[in-house]
Amino acid sequence: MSQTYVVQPGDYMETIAEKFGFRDYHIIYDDPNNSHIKKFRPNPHILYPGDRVFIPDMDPGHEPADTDKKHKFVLKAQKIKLILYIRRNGEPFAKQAYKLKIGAQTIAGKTGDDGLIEQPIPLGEPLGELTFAGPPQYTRKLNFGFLHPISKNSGRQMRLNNLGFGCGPPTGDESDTYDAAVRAFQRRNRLTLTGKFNDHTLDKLRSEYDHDVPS
Amino acid sequence: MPDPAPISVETPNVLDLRFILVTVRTDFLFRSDDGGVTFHWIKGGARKIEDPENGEVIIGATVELLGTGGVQDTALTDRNGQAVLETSQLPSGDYKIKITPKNSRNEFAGPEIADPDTPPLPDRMYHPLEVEVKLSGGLIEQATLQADIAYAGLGNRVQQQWPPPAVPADHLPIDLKPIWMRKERALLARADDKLQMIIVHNTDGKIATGAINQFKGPLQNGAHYLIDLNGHTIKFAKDHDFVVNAGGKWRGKNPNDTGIGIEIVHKEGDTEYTRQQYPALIDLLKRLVAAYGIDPMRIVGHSDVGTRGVVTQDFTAPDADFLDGGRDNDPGQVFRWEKLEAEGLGMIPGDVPLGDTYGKLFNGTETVVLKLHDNDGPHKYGGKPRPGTPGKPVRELQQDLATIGYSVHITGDFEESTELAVKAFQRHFFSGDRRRAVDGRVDKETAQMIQNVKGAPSP
Repeated sequence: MSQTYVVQPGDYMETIAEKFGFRDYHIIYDDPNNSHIKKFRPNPHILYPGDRVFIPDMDPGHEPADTDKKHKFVLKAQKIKLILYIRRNGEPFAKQAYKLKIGAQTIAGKTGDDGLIEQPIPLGEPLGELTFAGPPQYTRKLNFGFLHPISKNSGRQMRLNNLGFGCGPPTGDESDTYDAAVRAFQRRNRLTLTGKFNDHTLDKLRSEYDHDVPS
Repeated sequence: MPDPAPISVETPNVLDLRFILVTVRTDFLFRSDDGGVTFHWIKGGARKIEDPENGEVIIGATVELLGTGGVQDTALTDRNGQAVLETSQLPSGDYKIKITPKNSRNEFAGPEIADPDTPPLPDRMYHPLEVEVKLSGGLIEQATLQADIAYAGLGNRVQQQWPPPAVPADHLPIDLKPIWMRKERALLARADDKLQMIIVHNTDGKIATGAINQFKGPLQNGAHYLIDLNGHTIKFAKDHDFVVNAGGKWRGKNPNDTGIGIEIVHKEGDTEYTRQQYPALIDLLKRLVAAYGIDPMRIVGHSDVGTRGVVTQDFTAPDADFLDGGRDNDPGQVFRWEKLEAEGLGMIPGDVPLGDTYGKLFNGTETVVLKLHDNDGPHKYGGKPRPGTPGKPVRELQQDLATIGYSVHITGDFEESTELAVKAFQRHFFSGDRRRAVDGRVDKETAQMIQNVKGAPSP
């Protein structure tokens, strides 16, 4: 029986698919009933809390097996990719050893020349802790799947915050601090200083933060 | 604590780490002109204290980042004296960084930290400190110190700004001076009624390092207080603790036994004491006088009581007699006793006529100067016999010096101890604006001053 799901903070298509027993989120995302979602959320990994997602009926799978025997069906734990460019004060934080703690798991690695961390992480785990040994030792908490779409003010504030243009908690509200952060972003990128988002500013934010992936 | 960074999966993200490193340490040089703290802006990482003789890190201090919305982040300094404050997501604007070392007190470094009944004091105590910082993109654009140093005796506020050389900066190194550094030695406690005098010294050093290391160190020599170039005062021993800081005698008492020693960072010579040192000293003296009922007349210089060249003797013995030793010269003639006198502290010369004193030697038109080898016996005054001189001028002089407090043999013979006492008297009372030569001879001016001091009423 089909139903509608309201997106919660931290949800992305993969977590919703898993919640309803789908191995492939495309079955949901590509469903004609979700055409509005596809249009307004071009990136299935970046949704907005409150979005309504149509959950189609599941076509139950079949596995032939003998009766009166024990069978072991192994479902591979799904992984999802984290793509994170680390910078420090505007410069790539290159070749830095890090530890990424997610749930009970700790992943050690080193950032690339461009500060990149590209790392499979468990699906649906909302909280992580990224630590650099330093000195000084520095730890930053991460919320996976919590980024809002760039079409939303809150999504823009989150991106500005992550880029180092602090604008306070990403409430989505207009404010002087938001304007100041936008202005600082415009100044850094040699755009016209308006303190408000326009097409140039938005394009620049999308290329700077999302690497031109639509969201 | 700041919110976790919201990150998407499967698609690229950028996370630009913004945080400030705060380093809290004490630099024994104390050369800053800031009333308690210095910023050192060092690009790229904190300076390590290579030489522990010259400084120490402050471990376990609470470092808070305060904004309009309250505490934005808080951290403790680690074993390197370092704390990291998260500034990601903070809007640009004005913030405060508050540093509260363990055992912080808002008190003055004076008798307020001297209660003999308290449990053992910690090794260090500090004043908490607030630094106003202008943040932009999570980095420091400007730092302003609003140190309220009224407690240091200045009664005013200093405001200093340190625009960092590399703007914006991610490192705020702070040099925080303690108000208390416990001497590394068990000290004998003295009874309340033993605290009768205060001895003012100088360290004869341009910087405080040597003095600090000595005073906090395990040797018996030391001082209760040190006033640095900025008037910042550090206490090393409780006022009731026995600390060896001055040999000799004053009014028949051993200064080590009965005195509280105050050292001022000052290199001997013609350089003036700093303008911050006087108010700090005056404030400390007033607190000590009030706390222990010390006669303000018994605030003297090391040169008034001290001796030089006798340190191998047991100069802590109550009856030790060093009249023949050389005297220390500090705090020296550049020290402005008149600033203390204006506050009712120290010996204050009055206005007393010479009258018939000293055999009327100074009343005539002839210039007579009492000097070494003058003697009441053969009536030798000014180096030649003056048989008609009435009374015993040398003995009278010796008696007057002794009444004021100087140690001198009362013999009627102007021998070397008398000369030393006269020099000490001149060094004290011909200092500052009254400065003139110290020659150990009693001319009319010196004789008049001796009368003025001897005859001055006790406040």
